[in-house]
Amino acid sequence: MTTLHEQSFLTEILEGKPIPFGKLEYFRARLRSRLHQLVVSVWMRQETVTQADLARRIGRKPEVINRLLGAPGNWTLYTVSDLLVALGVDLDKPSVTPIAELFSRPTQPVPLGNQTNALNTVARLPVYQPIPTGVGAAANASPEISK
Amino acid sequence: MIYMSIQDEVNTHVALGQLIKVRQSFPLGVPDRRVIYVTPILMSLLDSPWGNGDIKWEKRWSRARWQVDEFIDGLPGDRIMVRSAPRKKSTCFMSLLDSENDDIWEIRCQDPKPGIRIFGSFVKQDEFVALTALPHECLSSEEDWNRATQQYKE
Repeated sequence: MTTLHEQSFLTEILEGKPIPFGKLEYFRARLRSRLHQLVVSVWMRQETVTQADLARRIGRKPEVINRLLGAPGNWTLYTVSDLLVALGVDLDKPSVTPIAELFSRPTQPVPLGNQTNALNTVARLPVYQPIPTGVGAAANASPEISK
Repeated sequence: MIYMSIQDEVNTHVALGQLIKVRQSFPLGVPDRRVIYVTPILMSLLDSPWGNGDIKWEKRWSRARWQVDEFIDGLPGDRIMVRSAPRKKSTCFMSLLDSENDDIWEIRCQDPKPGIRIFGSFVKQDEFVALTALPHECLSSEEDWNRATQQYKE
């Protein structure tokens, strides 16, 4: 059941009216953030893969990977694609749900670190072997997001 | 003599309308992982419609609002990325300001540039009170940061 507060935020969306620029921006940031969450959660599950590994695989500098994993500020669809491929996974049948339906869901507790959403479906690509990169690799990882 | 806990103090300010508990703009039927209280002025900036007709500010405050909602909803792996050292260039979500004794934190809304900084303190784990905010272009020197910290304390 939606509250008045939520309804007012979604008025234009639910009523098919022109959506204000700020709300488009809000949902852009939201989608980017959810893709970021997805990539980071995949990376954190792959304990042997360092930022240096990812950098080498997609031809970027380790500090760029560090920045990309830290926040999704300047992510593009290419960024998502490159990082997923570097992690050896791909989106598998991503799905969408009407916003109105999302609001009608009853509140359910979710275990910490187990956020589920439509984008959280990934498929492992058939060929993936983490390549050891030596002692120096781990040193490139920032303490902020190093594993 | 009556002693009030910090939580009592927060509750009193909420009852007086001096602090407002932020509710997610777009909740998905899962319980909030964190709580954030803001002042009415900050709330009016964070609530849509943003920017008072100025598209630049509409973009900046809508993104800032998303970050606040994200703080409530939970961040990747339910972790908050924090800066490892003061003033270090970083994309992290939050940072403790220079003087650790003051326990003043900033939520770093960096996108779009130059971004916005929201200043506040944790009253307990996962419960944050934000009192002030400044556009990052107003924080270009050490003096600016000191002034912002002072303004926050007042």
